[in-house]
Amino acid sequence: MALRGNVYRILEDIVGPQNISEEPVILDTYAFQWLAETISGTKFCTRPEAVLLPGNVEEVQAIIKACNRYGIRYKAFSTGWGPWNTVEGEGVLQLDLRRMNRILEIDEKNMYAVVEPYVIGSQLQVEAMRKGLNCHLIGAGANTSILASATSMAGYGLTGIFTGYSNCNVLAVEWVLPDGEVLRLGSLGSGAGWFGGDGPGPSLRGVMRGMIGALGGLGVFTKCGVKLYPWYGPPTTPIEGIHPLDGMPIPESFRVHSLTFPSWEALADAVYRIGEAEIGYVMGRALPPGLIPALNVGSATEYAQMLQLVSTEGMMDEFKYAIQIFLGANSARELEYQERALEEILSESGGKIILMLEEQSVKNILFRHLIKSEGISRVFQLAGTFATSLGAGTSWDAAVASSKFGEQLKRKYIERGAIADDGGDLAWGGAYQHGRFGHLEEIIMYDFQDADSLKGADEYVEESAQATIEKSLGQPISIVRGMAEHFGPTSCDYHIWMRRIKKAFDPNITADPSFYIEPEQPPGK
Amino acid sequence: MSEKEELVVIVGDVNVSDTPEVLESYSRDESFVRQMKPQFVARPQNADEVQEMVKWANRTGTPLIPVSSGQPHFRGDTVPSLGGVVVDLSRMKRIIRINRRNRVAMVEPGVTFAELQSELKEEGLRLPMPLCPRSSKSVIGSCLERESTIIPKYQWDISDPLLCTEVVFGTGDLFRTGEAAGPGSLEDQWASGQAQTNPMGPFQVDFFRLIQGAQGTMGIITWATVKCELLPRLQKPFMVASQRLEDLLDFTYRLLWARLGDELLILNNYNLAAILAEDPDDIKALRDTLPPWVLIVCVAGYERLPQERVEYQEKDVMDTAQRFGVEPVTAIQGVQGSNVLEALSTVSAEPYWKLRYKGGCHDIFFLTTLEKTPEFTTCMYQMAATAGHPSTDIGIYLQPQIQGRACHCEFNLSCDPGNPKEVEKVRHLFFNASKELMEMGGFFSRPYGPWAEMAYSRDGQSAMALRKVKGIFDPNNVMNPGKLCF
Ligand SMILES: Cc1cc2nc3c(=O)[nH]c(=O)nc-3n(C[C@H](O)[C@H](O)[C@H](O)COP(=O)(O)OP(=O)(O)OC[C@H]3O[C@@H](n4cnc5c(N)ncnc54)[C@H](O)[C@@H]3O)c2cc1C
Repeated sequence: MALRGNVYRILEDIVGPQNISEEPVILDTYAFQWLAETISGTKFCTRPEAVLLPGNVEEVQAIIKACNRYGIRYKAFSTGWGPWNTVEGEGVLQLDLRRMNRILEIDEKNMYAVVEPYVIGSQLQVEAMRKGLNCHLIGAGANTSILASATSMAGYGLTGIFTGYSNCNVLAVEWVLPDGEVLRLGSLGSGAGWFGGDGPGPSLRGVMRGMIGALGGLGVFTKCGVKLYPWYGPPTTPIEGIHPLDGMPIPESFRVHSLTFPSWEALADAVYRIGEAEIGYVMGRALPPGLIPALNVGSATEYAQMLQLVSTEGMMDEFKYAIQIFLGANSARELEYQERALEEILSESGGKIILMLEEQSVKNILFRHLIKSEGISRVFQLAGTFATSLGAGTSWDAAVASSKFGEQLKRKYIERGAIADDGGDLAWGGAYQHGRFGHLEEIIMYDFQDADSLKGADEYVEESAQATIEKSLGQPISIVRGMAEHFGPTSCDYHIWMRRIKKAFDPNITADPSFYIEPEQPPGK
Repeated sequence: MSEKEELVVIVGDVNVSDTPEVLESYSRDESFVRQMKPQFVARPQNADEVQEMVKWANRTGTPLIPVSSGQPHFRGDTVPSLGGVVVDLSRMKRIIRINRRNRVAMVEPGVTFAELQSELKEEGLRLPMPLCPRSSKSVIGSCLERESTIIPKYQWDISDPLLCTEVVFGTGDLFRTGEAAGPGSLEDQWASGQAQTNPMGPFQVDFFRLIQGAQGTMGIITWATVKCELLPRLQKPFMVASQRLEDLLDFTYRLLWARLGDELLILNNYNLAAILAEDPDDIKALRDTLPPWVLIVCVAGYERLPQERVEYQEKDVMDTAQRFGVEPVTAIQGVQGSNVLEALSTVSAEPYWKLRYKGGCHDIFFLTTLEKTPEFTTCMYQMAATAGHPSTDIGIYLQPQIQGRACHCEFNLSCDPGNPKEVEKVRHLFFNASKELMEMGGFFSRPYGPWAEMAYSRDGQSAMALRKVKGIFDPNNVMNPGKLCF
């Protein structure tokens, strides 16, 4: 189904002929996605009807108004890291926001920035660091949109102990609602600037997103304010060495360590104590045991050999209950305090520094990886792709409980040969806001071109999601489609309220509901 | 059955009042909001009774006005706009759970700051407080109002310290917000190690943000979890005096950037005197000796190396001060920092500090950024001068929020309620200054009473969006109708 001639022309008039396309070769680049095989069985999700590249809020608004007039659906796309930005059904427009790529403001004193959708993490980070500031980067990498994470999806990243979680970092927002009206959240709507996203009265951030985000199901966000955080390093951060072993020299004001503990319980205690002591700039399980052998291998075969080697030599034990921690401080005195506090915590919990990872070049690599949030590519390299599971934002104890369970469950699928053998434990995550809550997601690696592997991965993800219900392990991040129908009945029937929100804010159902909620309850649910 | 009988069935005979004195006491507060009597005051004891009341209200079309704190009230939000039944939650006083490991407490709406703080202390915890709340102030009430707290570094999100809630929506449905929603009952969640520390969600909607700031218009909270912090082992308060507000700002910004200090706020001489002194004469005398502006910053050590933490923080604060040409001291004009800290760490003594000087007080407050506060202050002084209100009687409180991204700016206009001329003067000043400050870019994010109309007329889109939300959670408009834009 092509867009009716006049509709295409109307849309073309809005964005200009350079910024609209119906070419299959172009459209398929949007449909080609990570995890697509779990949705369609191929590497492609649904091909959008056309792609439009609006350049500003007025164009986005005009497109959405036209969509309401002609009954066309659309889906926003910022940097497009995942299937949630793809469309479902026929005739849906993809709104690619890459022309909106400006950092509009960095308010140094009040520590926030105002960004458009295609401003990526590294772009903002570089500018912020020049002013002694840094931004929260998610684990997906510095390549992802700051705005998409803040307004629309998740927000886990390993500086979270110091830089929070994306949902809590968003300030005022410019939002083109599904009916085409522009809503300016918080202080912006009252003409007072970008410093706050809440009010007057109840905060409409509540509608905008939850823990996970509306995933494109509630219109398009065109600008947002985000909190920035202190950066205690130099204004520019040189990179040394050759990829993938390139590192960043560690500034005087930072310390980089990998720590190991005798048990999950000891690790959990230590994380609580680190949170309470208010130390740490980066903290989390950046290198779970399953990733250690991946550090310097180039293929799945080499990975398997390396895994075998490190396992037989008992080296994996060091990484079993390990975390990475960077201390970062405003002064030498503070750094000294943080180091002493860490030493005490280690001795109380029976932990120690992993000497193997104390070599300067290794620490420099780790520093670059985690400050710049790089290195996610490894989980694609080994088996072709990966999926994730569990990972609720919850107390650290519950996060640990869920990853213990995840490891057990995974072994079953590893033994079956369905997913890559990573030793079972690839629980990645950290604690946020000085340990006020945490998350550990259990990652699996699999071969999407192998039917059995794909089937095994699907089953694993489903079984783990089911277990979160049966074992009360918090709200998982793994199932994103049909999530509301699946988890609603287990969580105060929230899906019923969400459906009402969808209908109230999007009466013509033009914002693609496929990763949010369908306007009508599917039969049989 | 009469309406009263129906209420009696729900909450019991002794918990329904319609005596003239009781109704009278709920019909007005310290604000300029129009008086109106409720028909009844009902005091439910648990979520079931609350839920029954909300269902009853929907059946009978009766407005409900939820009230958690005791009197005196100041904002007009608990004064009925259209009659109805006041739902007084002060009997719901259980501290359900304090979890030291996750630094969280679960409380019912009738629990006051003083009650919670003493229980928390036993566990080595404390809750960041607003500026010297009155002794009758409900913890949940304060959290729901998004009141600023005096320790900005703990406020990651403006919603802090509120976490999960249990709420009866205006529809009569019971719901739990955040991770408390499920999967699993609270007991199941506790068993797996959860402690209702994540307020977000469930999943794709942040329901708690829609209830917070709603002045009781969306539903009634029956419990909430709140983010607690470690009780300091050691504290060392400092003050920086200044003739000019401007001279304190860069230093304050730097402290916020470096995460130095816990309590961090600026008071003018009137307000510092008002929180310390016991009677009008003392307030006046102290105010006149104090410098116009005082920044208060307190460094602290907790369980981990407390001495060392205080030492490094103190030295860093001093170094920073030197860089910005200010001088932190432990006493100013005989006022000891330790006394100030003590006042900040407890609820207000009686009478409530805002009422101590003249018996009445009207607050104008809004959000802005710290560097803009001098402009607002100048404007307030000019307007007061025009209105003939003595500028020396204006209290000013500046509170960095969201770890320094915004600043709560508050002007306290004291007046003698027994002096109609003075009340009238202050009323004019209150309205005119509110308008002017809003015009200048003050963001009235918590629009009480007359501010609601002013705020929503500047932001019609928010009003429209909020009415959609209201239509979902309280379609019959039984929850505190007439407030905000509803
Ligand atoms: C390898 C990999 C690792 C990941 N790791 C993490 C991680 O560690 N932490 C984490 O939080 N997430 C992670 N994710 C999930 C996800 O990709 C991110 O959360 C990220 O925020 C998505 O940003 P994006 O710009 O790429 O989003 P997009 O894919 O462009 O958008 C994400 C969703 O938001 C919607 N959206 C985007 N922009 C707008 C807009 N302007 N207006 C309205 N809706 C919009 C989209 O429709 C889509 O549903 C990972 C994904 C991948 C592929």
